[in-house]
Amino acid sequence: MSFTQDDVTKLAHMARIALNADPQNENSFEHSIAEDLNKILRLVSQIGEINTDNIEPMDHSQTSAQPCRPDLITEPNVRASMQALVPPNATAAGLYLVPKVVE
Amino acid sequence: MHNKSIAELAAGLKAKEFSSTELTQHYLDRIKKYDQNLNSMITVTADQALLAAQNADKQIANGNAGQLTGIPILHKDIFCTNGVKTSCGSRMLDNFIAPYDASVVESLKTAGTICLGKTNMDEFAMGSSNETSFYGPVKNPWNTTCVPGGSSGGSAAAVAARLAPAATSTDTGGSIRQPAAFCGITGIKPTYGLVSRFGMIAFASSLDQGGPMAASAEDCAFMLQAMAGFDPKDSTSVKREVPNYAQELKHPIQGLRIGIPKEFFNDRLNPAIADLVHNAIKELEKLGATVKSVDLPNSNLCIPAYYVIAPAECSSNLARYDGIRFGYRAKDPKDLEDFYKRTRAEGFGAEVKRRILIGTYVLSSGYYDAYYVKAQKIRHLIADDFKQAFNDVDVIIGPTTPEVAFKVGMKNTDPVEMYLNDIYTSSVNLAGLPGLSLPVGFVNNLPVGMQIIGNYFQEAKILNVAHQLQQVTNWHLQIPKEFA
Repeated sequence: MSFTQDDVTKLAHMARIALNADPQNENSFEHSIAEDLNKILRLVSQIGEINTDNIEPMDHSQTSAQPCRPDLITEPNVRASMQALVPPNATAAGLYLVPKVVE
Repeated sequence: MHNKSIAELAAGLKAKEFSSTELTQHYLDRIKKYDQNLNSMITVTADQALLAAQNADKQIANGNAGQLTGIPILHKDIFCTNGVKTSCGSRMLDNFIAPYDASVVESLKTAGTICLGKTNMDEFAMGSSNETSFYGPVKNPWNTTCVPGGSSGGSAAAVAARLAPAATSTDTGGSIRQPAAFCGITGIKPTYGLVSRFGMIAFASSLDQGGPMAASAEDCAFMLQAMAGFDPKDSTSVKREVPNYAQELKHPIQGLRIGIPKEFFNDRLNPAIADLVHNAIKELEKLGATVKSVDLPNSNLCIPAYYVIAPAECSSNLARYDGIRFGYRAKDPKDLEDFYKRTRAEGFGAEVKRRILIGTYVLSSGYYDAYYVKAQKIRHLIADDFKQAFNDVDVIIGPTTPEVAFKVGMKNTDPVEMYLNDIYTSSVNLAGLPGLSLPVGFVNNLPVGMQIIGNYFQEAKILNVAHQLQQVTNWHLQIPKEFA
């Protein structure tokens, strides 16, 4: 497997990252991204050569059980302070405003 | 004052040789004088620091002072600080004023420390040179044409230049230890789960761990004491008693069993660094330690496995930056998809976008098992290697980095070349173990770091070994001439 410009376009769409329309611009991220991803892919593909039959995946170094706590409200309502983080025209009636989705 | 250890500063405050206000002003003056060149700071909180110092002085006068009361420190800009900009080195969070404190910030505040400001870092902690920051590269105080390492390069450079006695930092693949090595200071990455991640902006959640940086192991012990401990707000925080690290430093190391992994002395290692690490090990032998060879046969797989797992978790964690509820917003979007895509394209830098794309790929349908699950299995092999080695030894020692600090701009065109900087550090994160880097000499007038790896929750042991070495060597007391 190696990345083509089309693969990069598809990945960028999945990750919701816009790509510049002109990948020929040598200073742009888009110019080298396919080559960079191929270099990284070659590096990480080494793991495919290792036999890992009967090895369990390890997702956490500590295997302790998840802690439980009483089902009580512990956090105050912070909506006002959270909404103060965006410009005033980005919220209305306690809700966040986004570009129109349905015409 | 800036040449003193935390213990000496605390004694000076208690004896009224100087006040916390004077000490804080002294460090603020140093930041003003030196940081224009170093660029180690993103935000300086002078007014808040002086106010906190006045309160600390009252506490000291009332006889209520702890070891860290009135001691100025810095926080890496990855830790949320209530009412203070928390950018994570990114344009995406350039306008983000955190509405709460990270647990680590809160703990250090409770311990009486004075926050002087927030340090520069690689964007979202992704980098090994501090060149990916939206705020520009940080310079290494030992040679300002060189990088300080990353991602905690701002914290490392600031401590090395004595702009503060200590700083917080984080380590996902080597981001405490590698910059500590490049800047000639001491830094410890604790066991995964020892220090709360609440309010520490997430990069790769199963690997990220906060820890301190300071001149010496003793100073790190005081900082870690305040930072460590169970936090119900972090579900990966481990509930266990925290030892008294400062007390444990004093134990003699007679009979200590040191393991030397031959895989860490491979052909990528600068031979002059190998010599200095061997010299330091000889000093430990003189103190009564014994040395034996250990095998870590899967170490060569740590970088490939790391660069699957870390980007996968990064692509998931950074999905939250969509411009809606906080952070950067693209102007004049034509629809919602355009809004998301341009916000993320304009808000993130190149290295962050590269890692998001790789992470998106390895988690996508058809590739998940081949890459992500496979890497998690390799991670198991790496952890088992360490487990086996720790059956025979108490600590494992090797170099922190294969080379000394490199020139700014030298490696930022090839991502893979940059990733290989973490060749001796990332296996420790994958296994979840604690690791410490301390200075053991100079090559080409640039500091060299030695790494001490301990078994799970053996922070006291590795701090003890580092401290005992620092009692018979003085590498940790060296300060770049320009900043002395």
